[in-house]
Amino acid sequence: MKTGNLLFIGILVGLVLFGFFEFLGFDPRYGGIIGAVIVGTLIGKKIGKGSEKYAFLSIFIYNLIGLILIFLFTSDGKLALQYGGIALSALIGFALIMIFFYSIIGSFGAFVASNLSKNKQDEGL
Amino acid sequence: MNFSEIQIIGEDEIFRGSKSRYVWLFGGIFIFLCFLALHYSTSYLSFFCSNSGGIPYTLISYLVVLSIGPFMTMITSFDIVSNETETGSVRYIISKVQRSSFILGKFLFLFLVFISVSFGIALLNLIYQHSAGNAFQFEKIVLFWISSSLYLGCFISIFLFISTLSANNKISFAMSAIFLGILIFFISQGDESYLKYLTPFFYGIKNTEFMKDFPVEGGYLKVFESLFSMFLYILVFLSMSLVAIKRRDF
Repeated sequence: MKTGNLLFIGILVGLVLFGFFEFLGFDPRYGGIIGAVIVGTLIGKKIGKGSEKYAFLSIFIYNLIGLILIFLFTSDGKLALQYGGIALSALIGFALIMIFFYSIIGSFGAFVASNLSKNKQDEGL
Repeated sequence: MNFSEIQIIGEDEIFRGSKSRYVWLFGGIFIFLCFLALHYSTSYLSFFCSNSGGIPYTLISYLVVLSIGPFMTMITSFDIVSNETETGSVRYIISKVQRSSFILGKFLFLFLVFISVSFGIALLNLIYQHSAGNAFQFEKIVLFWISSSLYLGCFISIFLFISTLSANNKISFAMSAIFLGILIFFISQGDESYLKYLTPFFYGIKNTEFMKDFPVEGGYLKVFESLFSMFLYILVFLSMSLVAIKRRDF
C-alpha cells in the first residue's frame, strides 16, 4: 500500500477514535494518548522503518481536524468562539501544545512498533 | 539465558570495554555534583536549620539523584547497544553468546556502575552527617542507597530498551530524549492523573518523605511497595528489551 494511502487511513482511524472517545466522555488527555498510541502503532507496523514522521503528521492532522470540528459543531466550542479574547487564544495554544505531545507519543509508538515487528524480507528464503 | 555468559559480558564491559572509562567518568561527575549540592546547601541551610533537627543531608542528595539521575543515566546508556549495532560488532557477539545474555550482561554492567555511584553518594552523606555531629541514621542511608539504585535502574532499563530498538546512536539519543520528555509530560499532569503511575519519577518521589523522617508509622510497608514497584518497572522494560533483541535482524 502507498504511504499516502496509509497516511489517509491513519487520519481516518484517528478521527473515528477521537469521535468514539468524545462520545464516551473520556478524559481528553487519556483519549488523546490512547488514540495516538493506536494510530502510531498501526502506521509503524504498516510502513516499517522511517514511519515516525508519518505517524507524527497523521496524528497532528486528525487531532487538528477534531479540534476544529469541536469548535464548530459543539455548543461549548461555539460559546468559546463567540466569547473570543485572550482566553480563546490561550485555550487554542494549550490545545496545540497537547496535540504536539500526542503526536510525539504517537511517533514514539510508531518507532517501537516498526522496530519490534519482524523483518519480512527474509521470509520464504 | 546463561549466567556464565552474562558474567562474561558484564566483566568484559567493566574491565575491557571501550565505554567503561566514559561511564565511570560520568558516574564520578554525578558524585561530584552531589558533593557540590551537599556542600553549598549545607552552608546555605545552616542559617535556617541551626535549632531544628539538623540539615537533611540524605534528603538533599536524594533530590539531586531524582532530578539529575535520569539525565546522567541517559548520557551513559543511550548507546550501550546501538553503538554495537552501528559498528556491526553485535553480529560477532551474538554469534558467540545468546542474545538474552548479551542484553542482561549490558544491563548488569550499567546497574553495577550506578549501584556503586549511589553507594559513593551514601558514603558522602555519612561523612557529612559525621562532620556535622549528627547521630548516624543507618536505616535512612541504606534506604537511600537501595531506593536510588532502583530508581536509576528503571532509567537504565528504559534507555537499554530504546538503544536495543535503534539502528544507530543518533536515533537512540533522539528517542531517549523524546521518551524522557514524554515521562516528564506524564508526571507534570498532576497528582490526580493516572499517567503518573507510568513514570519512575512517581515511585522515586514517593520515597522522598522517608528521607527526612524514617522510620515513620506504616513506613516499611510503603517503602516496600514503592521499591517493589520500581523493581517491577525494571523487569517490564528488561523483558521488552529481550523481546526486541530476539525479533531484530542485525
